[in-house]
Amino acid sequence: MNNDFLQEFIEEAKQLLKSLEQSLLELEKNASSEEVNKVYRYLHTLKGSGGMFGFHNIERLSHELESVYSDIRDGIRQQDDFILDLTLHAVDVLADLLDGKDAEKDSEKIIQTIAGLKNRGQNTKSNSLGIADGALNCYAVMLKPEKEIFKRGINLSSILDELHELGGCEFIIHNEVVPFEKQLSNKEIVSWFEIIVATKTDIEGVRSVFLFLKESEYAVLPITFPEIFSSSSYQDHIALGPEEVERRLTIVQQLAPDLLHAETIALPATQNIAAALQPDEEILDDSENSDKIARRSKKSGHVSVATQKLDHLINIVSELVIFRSEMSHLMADTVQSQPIVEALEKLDRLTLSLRDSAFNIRLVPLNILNVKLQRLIRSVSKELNKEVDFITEGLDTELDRSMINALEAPLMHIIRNAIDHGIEKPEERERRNKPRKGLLKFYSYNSGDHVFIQLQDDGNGLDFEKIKAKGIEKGLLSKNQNYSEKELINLMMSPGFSTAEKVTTVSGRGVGMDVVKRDITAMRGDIEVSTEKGLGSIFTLRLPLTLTVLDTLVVEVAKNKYLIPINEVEHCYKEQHEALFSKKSRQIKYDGQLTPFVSLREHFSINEFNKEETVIVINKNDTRIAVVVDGIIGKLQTVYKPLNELLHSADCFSGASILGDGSMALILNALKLRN
Amino acid sequence: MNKQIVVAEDFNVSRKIIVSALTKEGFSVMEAIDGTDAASLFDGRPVDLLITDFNMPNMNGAELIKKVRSMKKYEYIPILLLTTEVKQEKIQQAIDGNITAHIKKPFDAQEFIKVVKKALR
Repeated sequence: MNNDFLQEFIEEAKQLLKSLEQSLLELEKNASSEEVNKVYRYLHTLKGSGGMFGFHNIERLSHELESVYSDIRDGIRQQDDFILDLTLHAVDVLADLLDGKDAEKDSEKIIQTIAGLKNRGQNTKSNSLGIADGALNCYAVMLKPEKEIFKRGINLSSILDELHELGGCEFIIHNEVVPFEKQLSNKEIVSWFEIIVATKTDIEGVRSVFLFLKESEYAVLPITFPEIFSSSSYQDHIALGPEEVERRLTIVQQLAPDLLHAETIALPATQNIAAALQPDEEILDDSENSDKIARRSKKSGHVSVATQKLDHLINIVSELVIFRSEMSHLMADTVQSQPIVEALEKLDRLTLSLRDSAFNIRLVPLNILNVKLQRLIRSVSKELNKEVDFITEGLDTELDRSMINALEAPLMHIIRNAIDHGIEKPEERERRNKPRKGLLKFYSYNSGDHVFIQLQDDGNGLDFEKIKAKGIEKGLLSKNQNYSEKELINLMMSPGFSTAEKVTTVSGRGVGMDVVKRDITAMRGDIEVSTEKGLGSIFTLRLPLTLTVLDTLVVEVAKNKYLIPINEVEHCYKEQHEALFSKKSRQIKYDGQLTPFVSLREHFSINEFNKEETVIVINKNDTRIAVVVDGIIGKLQTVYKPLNELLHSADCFSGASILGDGSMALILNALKLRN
Repeated sequence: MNKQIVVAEDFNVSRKIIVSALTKEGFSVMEAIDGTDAASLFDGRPVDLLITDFNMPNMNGAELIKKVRSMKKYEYIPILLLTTEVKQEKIQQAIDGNITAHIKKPFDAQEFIKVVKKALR
């Protein structure tokens, strides 16, 4: 077998597993026959190509799973949590099998479980067919609560929850001038809601949800034909343009695929939406799978490239950038004609834009973490009997691929902590007048050269009493002293501290917040925590856009050049050598505080000093240190290169970079200079 | 913990019927024989629901509701008002915008429990 093809198959199969996972999670939220079909198709494709490439274990396992989903699709079997859990587990096992790991036993177990499932199914077959499911009905609900509805002791969130319990639900929030969550917490509603519900309940059942509402606050309209959205009874509530009508038809199509079926065929417009929604439908049909997947990738305009090739490109571009600086360096010294200067400037611009787009290729949206996070939240909240809603915003924010990989563990840890320690049990929440379901919000955005990621929960907030008690117990704090919240948060993130009592499988994985902090710092990022007792906490991660480009200040010490990341530099000034070194303690007064300084000449054991020294005040993670150098040469954007393993003992340098003239300069890690 | 319900009703028989229906469902019930008595129960303890009559001696239902709503802790708790005549202008004005629902007396026990459960969601 050609090795290239094999590698390609593995890549594609992994992609397939990801889509499968996504569909399964979708299925849990909304058991539409569309999604069941997708799952079935993914498994089918996997079975086919697995067999073709000699992965017979994958072929067999996917075959068994496929048969379960074909039963579900044909209505012989009911989709349930057990099957879903089993399939999700199988996805992991399949991934292991792909990686060549020894997962035969797990695979065999799943196959046996499925066999058991089939026997059970046969016994109860007649039964389950006896309880025929009622057909899905669709309703549009216009919910216009009074601004002060909370004053009547009516809990709007529980009404919305109740709607969710009826079946598939899609909310359209109108007039959201204030974010909805904010409206809930302010107890003042300014929005109104258009909700499309697909349920087996009749209209009276839907209306009973609004028992406590006034007639003027809601209306329930049955959706029985596609034109309803343009009808006057609908337009009385809200006037919809053609696009908005289409959007609602799509929702109905998703929630209750069979409902408007006959009509959609008659209506060319709606048929188009359905087609646009499922671009892969006709392509991914049967047989010749790999070819089909290739065609699909083409259609969506994506090319997958091996990371190695990409890294190589980045390296070449990096060198080109360096060479460009070298060129301008050389040219600056010689007399030159106007045309050459212009040509050089053009080269400058081109190299820079080439560099930017090359770096951009490495950027991937955070979205690729979504499925993993969702699964984590699902399993953790199940394990701890907590109910959690996960809301994401800004998942299209892009970050360097290597950063996203490195981010996974810290994010998972923070989420695990938030569910374990932050969000309370449903009963507890109800007692505190909070909605039963905890809210976990993932929010990310770009700002300048940085990406911010916020994880917000509406749980109990950090328990400072507990942190303090633990700190005292561990001998890290003194009993009689008062500590600020900031100090306690810092303590929480210092090594050797973990409030998790290591009983639960959830937070007792041996990693504490210190590891999170360390991971984030290693990415040249920051972590900040803000918390309010009883209301929840926000973890904010600030990360550089990419690990490879760095803005630095070039300084000189004894004819050697060193680099200091510019975002760490707080202040620079000149000072007479005498004045600096007059006192024994190596400290300067800056911003009203005594700040320690390190003279690099002294540090490198050079005993001659200049008359006039340059002091650079560095502020990293709120810790200040000053560095004394000979002088500042300038500002430079450089490409960061990690140091060789052998050099790690010299930890006052975090990396190296090549300067415009081709020489090398080390990047200072100022905080390590102190020791 | 069970849901804590305060029942304010001056007419003994009515109150006993309500209380027994609620305790049968497993709720914890605190009884009050009039408005003042009921108001004294809102002393900071957790209360999940208030069910109150309108016409009571010492402090009527409207006054009780106003008082309860003025306390931060109980500002948003659900309140069910028991009335004989829903459409009375006076009652309507006094409590409008302050209560979760009216329950018209006499009521069907099953229907009543359904409303209580819904209010407690």
